[in-house]
Amino acid sequence: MRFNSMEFVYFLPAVLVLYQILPAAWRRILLLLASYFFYSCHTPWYGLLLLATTLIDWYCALRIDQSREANSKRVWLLVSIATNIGVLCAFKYAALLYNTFGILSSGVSGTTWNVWEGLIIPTGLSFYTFQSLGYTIDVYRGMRAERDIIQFGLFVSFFPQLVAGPIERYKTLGTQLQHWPRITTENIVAGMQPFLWGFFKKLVVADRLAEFVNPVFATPANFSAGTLFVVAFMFMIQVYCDFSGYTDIATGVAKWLGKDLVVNWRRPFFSKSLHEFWQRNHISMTSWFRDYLYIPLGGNRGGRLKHFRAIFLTFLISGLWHGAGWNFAIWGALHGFVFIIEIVLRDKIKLPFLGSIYLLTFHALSLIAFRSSDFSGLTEYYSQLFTGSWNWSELYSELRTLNDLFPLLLTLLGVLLFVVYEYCEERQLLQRIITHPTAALTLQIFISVLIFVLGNFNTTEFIYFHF
Amino acid sequence: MRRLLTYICVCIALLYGVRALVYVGIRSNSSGEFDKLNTAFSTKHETDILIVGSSRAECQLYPPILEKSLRLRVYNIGMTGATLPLVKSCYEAFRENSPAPKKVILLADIHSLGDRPDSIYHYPRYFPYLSNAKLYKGLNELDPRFTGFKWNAAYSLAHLSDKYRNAAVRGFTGKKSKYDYLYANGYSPCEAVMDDSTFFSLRPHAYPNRLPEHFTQALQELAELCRKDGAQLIVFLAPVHHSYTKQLPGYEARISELQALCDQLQVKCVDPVNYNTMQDRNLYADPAHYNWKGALMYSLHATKYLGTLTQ
Repeated sequence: MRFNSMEFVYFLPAVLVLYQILPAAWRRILLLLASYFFYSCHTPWYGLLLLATTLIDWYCALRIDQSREANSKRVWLLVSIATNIGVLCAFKYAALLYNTFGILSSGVSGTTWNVWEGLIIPTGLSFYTFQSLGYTIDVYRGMRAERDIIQFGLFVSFFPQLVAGPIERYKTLGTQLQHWPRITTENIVAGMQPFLWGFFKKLVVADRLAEFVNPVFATPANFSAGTLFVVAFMFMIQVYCDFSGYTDIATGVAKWLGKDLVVNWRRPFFSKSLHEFWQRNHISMTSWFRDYLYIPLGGNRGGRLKHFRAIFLTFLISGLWHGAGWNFAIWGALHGFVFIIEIVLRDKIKLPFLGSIYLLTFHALSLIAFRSSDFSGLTEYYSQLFTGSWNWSELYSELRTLNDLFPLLLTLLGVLLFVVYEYCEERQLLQRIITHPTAALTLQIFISVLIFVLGNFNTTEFIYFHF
Repeated sequence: MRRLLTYICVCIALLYGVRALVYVGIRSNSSGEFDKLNTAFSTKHETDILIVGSSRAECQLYPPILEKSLRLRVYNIGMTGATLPLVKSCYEAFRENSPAPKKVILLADIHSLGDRPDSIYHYPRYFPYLSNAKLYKGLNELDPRFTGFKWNAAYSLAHLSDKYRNAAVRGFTGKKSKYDYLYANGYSPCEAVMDDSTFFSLRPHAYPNRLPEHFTQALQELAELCRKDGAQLIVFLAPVHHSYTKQLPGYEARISELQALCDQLQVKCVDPVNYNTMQDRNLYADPAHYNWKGALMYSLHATKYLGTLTQ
């Protein structure tokens, strides 16, 4: 179920009302059932897969906790890792591996290879497998395992953040799930701001930009280099608004239920280096990779070369986490490479005023690899971008071939409002407004009306549902 | 709690206000498609001949040609994608504000017999006119969501695309859209541009093996309404290209059934051009619609036929 669907319009109030009227002991059962319904209402077997991985991880964690021998603990951890990575590989990476092998072998033998589309990837698979896997690793590292299967089941399947994160840790979300207080006006008010702003980002900014971005990425050869350059920036804003919008909505809904999700975004476009960017962007994923991959790979211990290897591998794998395609690997590798260069040049070059321009340009251009449908799409976009004409006068006419002037103006207005809001948040101006009750209420009413006046309600999926 | 209630009340009030503003803007738009919708559903318009039907009516009968030759007032309220039950509702809605015409020409949409009667194409275009009781009742019978569209401001605003927001702005500023210039008395040209390979390979919808119940019933009701109004209902067969009809098993049989039904209802059913003629590819925008040139030729044939009736 999508947040931007009619089903959710009925689902959410029904869950909140039932939650409020049920006795405290029943609330977590209600939320567990609601979460499974939320996840599997369109494809029931998704729920079965979620249940299976949850049961396996819960049991593995228990065995790790109860085992006294290090070897036994390690075996149960390996079972959990193998299950989660196995599920990921089967659904997400099998086709990539099969087709890569096929294309390479057909290149050698000269025969043709039928490309396999692969299995349908269950929505949000990468998010909940990583969340669950992080839990078993934490138990292996000494955290106490959760005995209560309902409690653990709810930690994995908590519907606000189930399909697109943030990737929570048991220490932060799991412990909050022990208490189920009534919904309070304070929580409703506190959750309203991220909830509305999330919808604004999704419907007014991301979905409007998508109408320009999608056709250009479908046929990049038909557009001039200037248009491709601008559309790369448009996609950068689109993907951020799409994903952070989802997180904001999830944060708001969780707040209504009295739960605080981790901060996943801290206005990454205001970063001045890639290093700072990854401290502000998709923080829950970055910290997951840091704690469960980068540090086990050696982190910054053991010399520069090992350090750089750990960085590069972490970025490469995080690229592949986003999608099963070599274009995602290239995106990750680009970030890893530039991240290393930044470390090398950190003490030699200081250009703080150019930092934002460099960061945004690099990020926008690297996201072309992220957005391209496949490797050939990526090469087509890059080659047109770097060899095509840079006639800026064609930009307007080419954008107009994609849509009328009125939608274009509304899109620009949406982006402008988004930039102003983010700037105010960055400069702490928004905090002053939000803490003042009347000003906060006025702002929330303003955003609500803008969503309906400027929003694009041709429901589209959140981009990160596919990851 | 008070703050929450204030938020909800102010939001609802503002959304109704914004929606009312958008509707006023659209109803002030006196060009193109919106001029037609205003004429059809919200203003008084006297006409001698009223053309009803789907997109084939809308883009194949050019009222100015008929007006010039017949010296009668002609208006076209053909609505893209309209199935016959909706055509009947549109006629009833027109009659809410306007006197009965002398003749009602229905371009029988034999092509869209396979369309689901409960799907209303471009349904947000009717939102500003839901105060027209007949239109609202007809639309609601076909699609119960129209109750929500009428009463729930947030729900209807969420379905209004940029096209309607733009129409509202143009309504207030009085600026025409580039798409409006070819409109004339409700006529709108089909501007599809299709290459030959697409044209000849286009597949029509699934086709029923008999006239559907909803079609028969709506035609009977329309005939009855016209009879009560003292208007003569004439059914014109809407031509489509052979490349299309040859893929419709039983097309000829459906035409014969329609003619039999019209005989039974004592309604004239004519083919002003004989659907075996005017099959030149250059007269068609797509296999189911004439282009501008085809529409002019078809209108001339229709004028000739109507001239014989009025003599």
